[in-house]
Amino acid sequence: MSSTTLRNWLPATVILMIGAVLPWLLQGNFQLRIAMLTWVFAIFGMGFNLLYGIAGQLSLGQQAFFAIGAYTFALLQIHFALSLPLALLGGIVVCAVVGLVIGLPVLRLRTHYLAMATLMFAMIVHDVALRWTDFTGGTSGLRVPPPSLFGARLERIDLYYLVFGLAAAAYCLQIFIKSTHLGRALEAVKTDETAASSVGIDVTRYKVSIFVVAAMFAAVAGIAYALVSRGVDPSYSGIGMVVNLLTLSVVGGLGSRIGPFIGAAIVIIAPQILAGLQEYQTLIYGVGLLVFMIFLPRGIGGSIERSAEGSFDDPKGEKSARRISRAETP
Amino acid sequence: MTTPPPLLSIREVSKRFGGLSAVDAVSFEVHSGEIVGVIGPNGAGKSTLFNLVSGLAPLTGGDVIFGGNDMTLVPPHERSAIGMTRTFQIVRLFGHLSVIENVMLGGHCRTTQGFASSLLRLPKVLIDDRKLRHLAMHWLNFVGLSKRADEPASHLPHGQQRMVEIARAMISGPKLLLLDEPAAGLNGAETTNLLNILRQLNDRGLSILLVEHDMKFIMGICDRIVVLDHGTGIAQGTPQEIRQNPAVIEAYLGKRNGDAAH
Repeated sequence: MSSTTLRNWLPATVILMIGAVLPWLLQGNFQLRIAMLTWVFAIFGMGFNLLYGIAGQLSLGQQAFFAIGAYTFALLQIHFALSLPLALLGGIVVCAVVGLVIGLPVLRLRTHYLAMATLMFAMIVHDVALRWTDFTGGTSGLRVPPPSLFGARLERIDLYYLVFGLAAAAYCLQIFIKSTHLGRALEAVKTDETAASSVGIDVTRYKVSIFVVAAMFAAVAGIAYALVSRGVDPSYSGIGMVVNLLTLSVVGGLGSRIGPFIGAAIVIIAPQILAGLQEYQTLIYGVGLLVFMIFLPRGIGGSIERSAEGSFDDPKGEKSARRISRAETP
Repeated sequence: MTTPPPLLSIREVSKRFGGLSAVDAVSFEVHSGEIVGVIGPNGAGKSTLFNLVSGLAPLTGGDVIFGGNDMTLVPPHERSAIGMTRTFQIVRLFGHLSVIENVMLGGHCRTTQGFASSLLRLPKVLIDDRKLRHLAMHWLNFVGLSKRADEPASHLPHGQQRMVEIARAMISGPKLLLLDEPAAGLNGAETTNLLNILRQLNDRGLSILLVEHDMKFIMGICDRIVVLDHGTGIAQGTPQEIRQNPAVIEAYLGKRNGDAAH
């Protein structure tokens, strides 16, 4: 029990501390922006981690919810002059509803069929964002009004703490889902749907629920991205976005609690470091990703947690000495 | 004295796959506290019948009535809540979850709450979780595996995985336990252990319906036996009656002057 608590809240404390002091360590708006984008992608990654890493439902259409959240947020502010909190809420609710409507039929499919269907959905959303110029602003997108909260204009540093607060809230929600009966049930659905339903799990309901939750995480991430970028454009639902999401999930570690944070930091920071290499950037990026998949299939977060869990649960190292046997059925 | 209605009654149950009749108008009953076995040669329709009763496959005809409920209307995931759970012929644990988490999942129907209501009732969810863990430990103790509670289920040998599966079934508090070839792949000592555990559960009032190949096992534990052959019920009775039933002997060994004897 205490090791579980430690496992959940030790990383949380570390992340919270890093997040709180980061603005003092960074210089200038550019670095602060990089930090904010890291939190944004961590939120996006946590949603995907719940959906695919824990529940085993591979969606390649999360960027659609990222975009729908951001566009809804911008449109509600532009056309209805809603305040920031209400527009944020509106963006999340719209994504939840769309997630429910899409999830109900699509989650009847499994594995690559599900991936294809969600990808198609995202391509439709992307086309709408590109071509419905009157509504979405076409390729140039929409501008988000300067952020203000309760009448006070938000400075850059306030915006940082807002985005960081959203990431912290998302982490708590992720931990809650992962460490209660909800997480167990989702793991069961991933492993064996037939056995899951025979122990009393309503498989369809759980799959649709986690799809909606992941859509809401994507919405929050998209809205935070729009706040940081002061606007929203069709690249939000583009293929680059889902490539970033997959990369951060693989590098960070699927199913890992801290993976999305590590993955997001790498996905955001690595291109900045590699920028000097110009055309070789993509090559190095791709090779790096391959190396990760081959040598660290659990990702960085997963590998750290695994070695840490060993020392939490098993101080005497009994586990490694234990015989792993499995009698075969004749 | 009036006899109480049976716990489970299977009436004229049929299953057709296209032109093939896998189960054809099979009827029998399981009364409270009884252990009933279903036997038959390979391909007799035992597993299909089992899937029909546990709801994994839809019926083509007939009725399954359990505790007054028409089970054809109850989806599989709601069956454990009304007192019917099953195990599988090939053990189906959630391998990368720990042993105790597997058992706790069996009690899912007791804490069945959606995402939103769980979030709104956080303290209750945490208390329920602790109770469930406690109960899971009780059942692991019962099957003798409490020491391995925190290991990944896939690390256990087959015989112990079978016991975890039984603990997972028992935590939901079933009235009827459906066991699909529980002794398959177990060695002698493990089979004896399984027999003891099932007898203890039966002494506490649990009814059991099982399909089994192991004749010694089934003759040793069942109050009544139903024999299937080619999808139809050919005999029912006590182990003693079944042993002497000519139709059963014929189904297993072939006719005396037929061509299928082996």
